[in-house]
Amino acid sequence: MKDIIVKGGFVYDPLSGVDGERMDIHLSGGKVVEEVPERDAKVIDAKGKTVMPGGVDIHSHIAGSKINIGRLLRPEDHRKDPVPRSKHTRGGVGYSCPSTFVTGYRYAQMGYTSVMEAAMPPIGARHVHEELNDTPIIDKAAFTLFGNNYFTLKYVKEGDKEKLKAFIAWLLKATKGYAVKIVNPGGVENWKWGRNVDGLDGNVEGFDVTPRQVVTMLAEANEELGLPHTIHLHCNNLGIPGNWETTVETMDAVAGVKPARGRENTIHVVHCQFNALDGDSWMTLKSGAGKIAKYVNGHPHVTLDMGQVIFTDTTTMTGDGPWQFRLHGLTGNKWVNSDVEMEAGAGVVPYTYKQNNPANSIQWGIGLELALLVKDPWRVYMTTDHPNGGPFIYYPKVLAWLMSRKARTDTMLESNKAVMKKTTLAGNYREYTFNEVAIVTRAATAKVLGLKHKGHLGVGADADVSVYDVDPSKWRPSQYAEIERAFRLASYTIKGGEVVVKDGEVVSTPLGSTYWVKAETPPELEQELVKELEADFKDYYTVSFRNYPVEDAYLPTQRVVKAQGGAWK
Amino acid sequence: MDKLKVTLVSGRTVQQGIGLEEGKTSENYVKSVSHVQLCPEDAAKMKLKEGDAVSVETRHGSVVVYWRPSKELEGGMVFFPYGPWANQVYGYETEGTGMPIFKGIEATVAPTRGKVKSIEELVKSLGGDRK
Amino acid sequence: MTVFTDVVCPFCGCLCDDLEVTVEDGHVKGVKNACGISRSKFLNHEKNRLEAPTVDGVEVPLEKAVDAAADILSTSRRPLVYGLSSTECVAIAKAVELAELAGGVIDNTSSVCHGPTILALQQVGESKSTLGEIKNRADLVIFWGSNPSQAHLRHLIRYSAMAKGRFVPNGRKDRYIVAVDIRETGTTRLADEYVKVKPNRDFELLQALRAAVRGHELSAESVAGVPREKVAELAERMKAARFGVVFFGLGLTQSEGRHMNIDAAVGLVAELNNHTKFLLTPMRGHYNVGGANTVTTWQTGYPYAVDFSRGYPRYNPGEYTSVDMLARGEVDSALVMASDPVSTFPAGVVRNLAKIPVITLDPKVTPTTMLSKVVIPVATAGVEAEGTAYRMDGVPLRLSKLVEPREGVHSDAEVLEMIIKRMGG
Repeated sequence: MKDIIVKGGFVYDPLSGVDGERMDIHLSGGKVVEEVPERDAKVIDAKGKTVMPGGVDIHSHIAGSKINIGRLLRPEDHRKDPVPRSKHTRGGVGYSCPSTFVTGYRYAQMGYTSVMEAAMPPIGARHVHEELNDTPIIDKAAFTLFGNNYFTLKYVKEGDKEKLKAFIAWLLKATKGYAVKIVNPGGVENWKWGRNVDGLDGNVEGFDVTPRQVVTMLAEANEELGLPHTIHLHCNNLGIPGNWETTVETMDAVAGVKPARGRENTIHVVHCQFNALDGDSWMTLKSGAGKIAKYVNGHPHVTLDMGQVIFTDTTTMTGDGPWQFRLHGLTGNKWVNSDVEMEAGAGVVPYTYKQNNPANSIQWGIGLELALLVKDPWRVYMTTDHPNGGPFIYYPKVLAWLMSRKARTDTMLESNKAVMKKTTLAGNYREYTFNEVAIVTRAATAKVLGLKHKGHLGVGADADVSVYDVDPSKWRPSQYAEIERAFRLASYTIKGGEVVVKDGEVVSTPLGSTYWVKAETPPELEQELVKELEADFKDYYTVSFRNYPVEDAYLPTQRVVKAQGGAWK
Repeated sequence: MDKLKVTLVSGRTVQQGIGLEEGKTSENYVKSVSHVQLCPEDAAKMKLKEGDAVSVETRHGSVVVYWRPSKELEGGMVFFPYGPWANQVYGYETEGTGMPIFKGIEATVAPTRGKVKSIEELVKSLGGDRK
Repeated sequence: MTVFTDVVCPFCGCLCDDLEVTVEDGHVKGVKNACGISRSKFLNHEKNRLEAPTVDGVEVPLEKAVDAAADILSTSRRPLVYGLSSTECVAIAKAVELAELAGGVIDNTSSVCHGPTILALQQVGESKSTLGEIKNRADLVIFWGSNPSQAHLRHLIRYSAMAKGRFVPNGRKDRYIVAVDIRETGTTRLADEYVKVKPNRDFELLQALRAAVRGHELSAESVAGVPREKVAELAERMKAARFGVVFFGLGLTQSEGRHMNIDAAVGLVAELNNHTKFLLTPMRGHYNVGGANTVTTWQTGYPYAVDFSRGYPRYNPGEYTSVDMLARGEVDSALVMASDPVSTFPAGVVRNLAKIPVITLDPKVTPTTMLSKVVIPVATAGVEAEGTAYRMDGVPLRLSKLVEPREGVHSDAEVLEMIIKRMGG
């Protein structure tokens, strides 16, 4: 592989303190290095262009049974966006439920080089990894679902945090997962009887614990294990007007948890827009973003991502079984439900966000408000919860809204007036800088994930670089269409030191790596745990314990991140 | 009375499963799918004896097979284990669904002096004898 | 001698993973915990094997057979790749790649099996779960148009009827089983209640139940041969269940109405979710037809009947489904893997299949291999080759390689890769 010099671009590398400086980036052997001799290197002329580390998407649904159900459910979505094969690429389909090859290509075309699959049911981990292996170019990881897992609930009930820690370590290893994902804790377990929880202090049937207890103990265990990322949480009461309160309560529930060494945060709240609703019904809906932002601004232990709405037809899919059933009832749209024994659930329902719909326009406003009202860009990240808020191909549009008040105003004027009356968006003049964009799409997300070689271009970083055809020294916010154009198709995307996208076209399709997290457990405790797991597997699971953990054959290119570790009692 | 009007239904059986895993040319398989199951009363109506052959006919085609009694069936219902003999009498219209109908179609069954084809003869009659 | 435990069985959609297989001197000598059909598969896997690759019935070296296959597909205008359900997922992925390269159509056995279930899902959805949920919670189990006593032999003891679970500690005694069928079967006999439905009238009965669940009184005296009182009673029982499930099979997909039958079942179950917890699960037949759908969907967006002639995947059941394409005489060559369409397709289309060059990959002699121009013996997945298979409820398990295939016999995936390479892919 030839050395590369990305020459003369405006570099935004917030983690290295570089804010639009004109400089060269030297790449060799798949890493960023100090300097390479020019005569042997491939020189990429980035003059007049924006250079950033490759994008790191902290939350997206790209691989596994849930997204595949979405694909299966939506031939009509595919027909809108067929993708022909080419010399370097396989054919497929795009839009809200893209096929795996197209997912990799399109992320790379936008300059993204790492994507996190947001929710992996343990018994279906093999499926997630098979799909990730068919997702070219990008590096990836998958978050293992814990919040409604039988063993989680059992150990929370027993108050046995050490056992819970051992279980987390064991399950991450068995599923080759990266983080502790929690979806509507307790609610999905109750959904297995057709019910739900109504808030953080509801009752989880059969275990007599509360979601609050589940979240708190998982957060403590997570931090004590020193896992690279914090708990990754989809709050209770998603989609219910007035739920902002539950969200703030949830954030506050872990305010007293001691963070792992080297960080202040202890909880990441996902697609916060869906959980930032104020009012007491869809009729009286208004934005709760202000209240959420107020809490987040005053409490450094919280990070969140937007879950931005795009006005289009898309496909909702979450592990929140009861919510998805509710949405089916609200819309009458086709509905797939998929409960997973002992572990989790899922539901998929197509949905269209309409500009003239008052609730949708408020929701659209809320996502942006969150990003604009939370002052610290290192703690709020750009996502659409693809495809729940909208397909990831619309990320450049979200960036345009963040960077340009005019872009927001133009959309607001086309939308239902409710957004102007029920959110503060109209009066918000903040405009994201290129530096802040780099933070919320790469630097901060890599940092909060604990991916030390991603999200920056310091020496030793992975050679993942994006070059966008927009001149930040000349660009003005009124030219937001240029942002959409430039960030939709990168001039260059370099992955692991190899040019994979040139002038928006995919030119090479190497297979990226799958990251997973290894945490150490004291051997006797692990043995005790395994004995207990084996017994319950025999009684309650329908697969044998020995066949459960994911074999190495499913991770041909793996990278292991070691947990910091901590004290055990 | 010779010809009997019946409703035909195909499906899997354990014997067919065991046989096909041995091999589609095995005696076990061939035996399991080259017969129809009739209720004893219908067999009596046609004066059938053990080892006789019957002709099954639908609007799509006809086939000669052996018969067996089954107490599970009531008069007018015939079970035809799924396989190449059964497919002689099913049609290929799918009405845009991709799926032909393999259950609940009208047929007639009658005793016959015709021979039950061997699997090789059956395949040959379909136009294939590449071996 | 080696004893392999927790072996995954490669026969039906139950994908039991508790088998014990004894291997001695490279041969399978014994198997425990398996049903009769599974035993047959393991103990007989060496019987009736294809001896060697052939072209026009003449034995040839493997490369020649691969060449012949590649030539046929490269010069074909409308090639069909079909089957896929009885092999592992890498082979299926290779088949998709091959179809795309050849610009043809890829289809799998769900086309003539649970394709209608997929069509219904695409129209109205489906409410399902993995089998453990049924084992642990279901107090009402309904088999509709499905006969596990003949086709899914250990389903009842492992997952649905006899199985003991978290909230079903007494197994069979804690469950009420209903079997809906047009005829008596082993399943109707073990059920607590047998509801006899007139052939091709399931749709009416499902819709009537849905109406009854919604609180409507039926004016008809009987529906589909079922008396009105019985319909009302069944609806009440479903509503009163703590956790109900409908397992449905080819009785619904292969009779008149096809996908509309499933549509009606889905609608009934969705309606019931307003009252209690209710699910439905298709009883998938082949052990990896689920994998065939799953892999094809993640790679192309569509589950079966996928056309690549324009360079991108297109989907249209009725147009690109195998039976229809063959019936119209549209296909001019076919590659068949892991299935036996000559045995499973109506004779009318088999006659059309016989007119075109067919390439077949199979471990054993079948009516399809007897009719094929090019025949390539392959390893038996799950016995001689490893890989992934997807259970009827979507749970993926790893198939084992327990013994080596005979000399010169490769896996499906390896053979397809050879053909792809020969075609310039």
